[in-house]
Amino acid sequence: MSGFDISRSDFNNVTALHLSGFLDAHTVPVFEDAIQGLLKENIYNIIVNMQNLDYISSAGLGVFMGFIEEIREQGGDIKLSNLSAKVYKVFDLLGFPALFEIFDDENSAKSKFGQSE
Amino acid sequence: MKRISIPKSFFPVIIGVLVLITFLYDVLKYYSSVNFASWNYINETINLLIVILYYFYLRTRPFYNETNVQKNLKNFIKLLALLYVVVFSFKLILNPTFTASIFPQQPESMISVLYSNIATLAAILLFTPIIITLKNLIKYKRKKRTGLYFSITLFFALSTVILTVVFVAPLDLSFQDNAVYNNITFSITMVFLFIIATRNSWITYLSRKEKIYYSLIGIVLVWLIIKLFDITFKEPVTAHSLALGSLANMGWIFLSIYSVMATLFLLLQLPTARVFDRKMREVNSLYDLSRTISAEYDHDKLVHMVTDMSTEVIESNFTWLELYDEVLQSFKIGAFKNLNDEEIITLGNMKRTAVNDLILSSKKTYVTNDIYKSEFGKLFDDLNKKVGSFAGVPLLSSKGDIIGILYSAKSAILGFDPDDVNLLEAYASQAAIALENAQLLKISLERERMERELQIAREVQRRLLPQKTPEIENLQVDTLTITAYEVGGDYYDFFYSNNGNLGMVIGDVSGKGTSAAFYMAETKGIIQSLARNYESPRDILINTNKLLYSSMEKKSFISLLAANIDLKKKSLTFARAGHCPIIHFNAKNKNTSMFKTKGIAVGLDSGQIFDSTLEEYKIKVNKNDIIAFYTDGLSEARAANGEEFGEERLCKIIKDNSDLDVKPLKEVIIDSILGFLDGQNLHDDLTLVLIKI
Repeated sequence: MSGFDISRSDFNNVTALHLSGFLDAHTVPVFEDAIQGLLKENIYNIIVNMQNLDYISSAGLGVFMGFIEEIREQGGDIKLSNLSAKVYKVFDLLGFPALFEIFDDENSAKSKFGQSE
Repeated sequence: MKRISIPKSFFPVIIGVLVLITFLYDVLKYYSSVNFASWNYINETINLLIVILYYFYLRTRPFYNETNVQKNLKNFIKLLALLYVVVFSFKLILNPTFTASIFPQQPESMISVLYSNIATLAAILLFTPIIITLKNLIKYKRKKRTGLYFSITLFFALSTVILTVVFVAPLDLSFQDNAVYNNITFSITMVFLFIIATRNSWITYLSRKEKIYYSLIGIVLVWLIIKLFDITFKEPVTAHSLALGSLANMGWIFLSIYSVMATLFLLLQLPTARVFDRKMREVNSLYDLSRTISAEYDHDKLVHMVTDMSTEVIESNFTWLELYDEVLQSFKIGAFKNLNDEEIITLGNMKRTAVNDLILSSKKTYVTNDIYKSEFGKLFDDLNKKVGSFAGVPLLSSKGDIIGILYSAKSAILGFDPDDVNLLEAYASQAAIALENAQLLKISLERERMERELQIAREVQRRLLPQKTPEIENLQVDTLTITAYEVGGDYYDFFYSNNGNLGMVIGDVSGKGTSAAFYMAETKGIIQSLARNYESPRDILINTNKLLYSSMEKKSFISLLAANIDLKKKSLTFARAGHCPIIHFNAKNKNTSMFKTKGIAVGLDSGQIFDSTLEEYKIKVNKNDIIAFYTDGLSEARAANGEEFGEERLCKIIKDNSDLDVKPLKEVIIDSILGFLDGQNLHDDLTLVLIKI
């Protein structure tokens, strides 16, 4: 069906993952592997930029839940940025804004990490 | 035709009796000078009969049909040795003498009579099986007319025997006087014996070692066999019976020709034995490989099998097989032979990717017979092993894609001649087919397993949903569920409180298949029991979250919406835990409104955030008001162009058809959804609950 892709950019103390395409039950393993890879490198400050994400299913949301506990225990966090209206609606409907910080752009998410350091 | 079966023990007894008769005849003949020609014929007939009976007796023995070349050769040597030992020992003990001046030779003493009988008996008992082993060897690879030649030879041999007896003439090829007849048949017999003696294809299939071994033995045997007749048979057998004498004579000629020919063949084949050996081994091992791997579907086992077998046949010092992962676009070592774990790690770290890339792009075998002169001279420097030459052969799938590379390395330079490379390639292609088959089987098994799992999940879901809609006065209820191919985990339920209120819950479990169905079942059980004690939708959801949170996987969650309709107070109370909003059509002002109250999905938080976020909301409902509960499968139903059905569309349909009862209203909604999808499949379950006051 539709593809899914992740690109990664590293900053000082933060790493951003840029998601694009369709994140559903079939593409979830790719996303999981990407986050798993960051944890292996002891990277816990993660921004997930969803500017080019067309669709996210409940399984996609599950990935955040699967890792967030471990990441927060390590003093890190996952922050979300650049959600399209459609994607935001899915997050919002399930009440994710109560659990995750959501930013309009990547820079504000980055600076938020900077403050907490 | 029914075969008369003769008991086996019958043969030795009869043979024994007949032998005794011929012995008595010899004794009688020695002591009396009377010699009746007719008596002589009877004696000869009896002697022939002994051979024939013995032959039929041997037919019942297992060795008669022995096809194994080695066993036949060993039998042959044993019998020949035994014959020598027996005849020689008796010759030494008895020291017989025969008159040579007349034909046939006559024993000069009673001892000689005895010896001639013993030698004849030994000849019959041991020589017949020797000829049979030769027959087995000749028939090892039967050619055209071998059987016919055997029959012709036998016919002329018997003719010669009879003519010899009748004319009392030696088989000396003199063709003089009365020796003309038997010598003619004798020469014809010899011609055919010679033809048969060229049938020795069994030699080709001996291994090199065996060829050397048997050619050495052959040289000795030829000498022994040629001497055999003069030393053992010539005088005593002829003296006892002319028939047997001529038979032994021809048998010996056959034996001599055959052993000379066979030894010559053996010697001639020695130079090519090594190559032949190798080819045989190649063919056998490929056959073994294709036979074993066609029955093996375990991917890992296959990989190891191919590596082990190719190491053995190519005689390489070490071998390893790299498998290509198309997703990661990289190689990983799948199996190895003659390498330890440490060396494998070194090999894994090595910059062999250059060779891999070369083979990956060319899809051709890479061979270097002198690594020091090749571009990969330093490739194996880190490895604590000497490598002089190596070859890498791609494993190509039926589509021509690379699925792996089989590497073989030898410490010597010039280790891979074209034959080796061909063989490696044959191995690689066999392995590729087998691996591909195993993969296909795995995929189809996996698919089947998933299919079955989905079937179970669908069945569970079907049973978990209410079997009938509630029938309550002044309330219309109808529901719609369309299950997607992969069960999505949509769930709804009704419950009735004591004061006549109707409770309902709708939800969507994250994930699909059996795990979704499992959570659905758990949720249903919890909510059903909570609904007995709690009226408030918020209380029900908060307690559901408490109970479910600990038992759920971190990445799973359930969106839920609980509602309670009080028909007396005309009110709808509800709480939304991350689920789709409620659509309310107000019959008075003909307006639809959506209520997206605060709340996060069940399973996301242990309690604190969940409880503080969750809102309970109460609205007034009046006659002809319509309330719609749905799951995201409906709002997110996608058309071919990617457009989603959306809540607005649903709101509009309800508003435009608000005068309809719920049943026809549902039909309108279904038609609208199907029209929107226009043949596209649903990617998620779709659930709709319609309530009209």
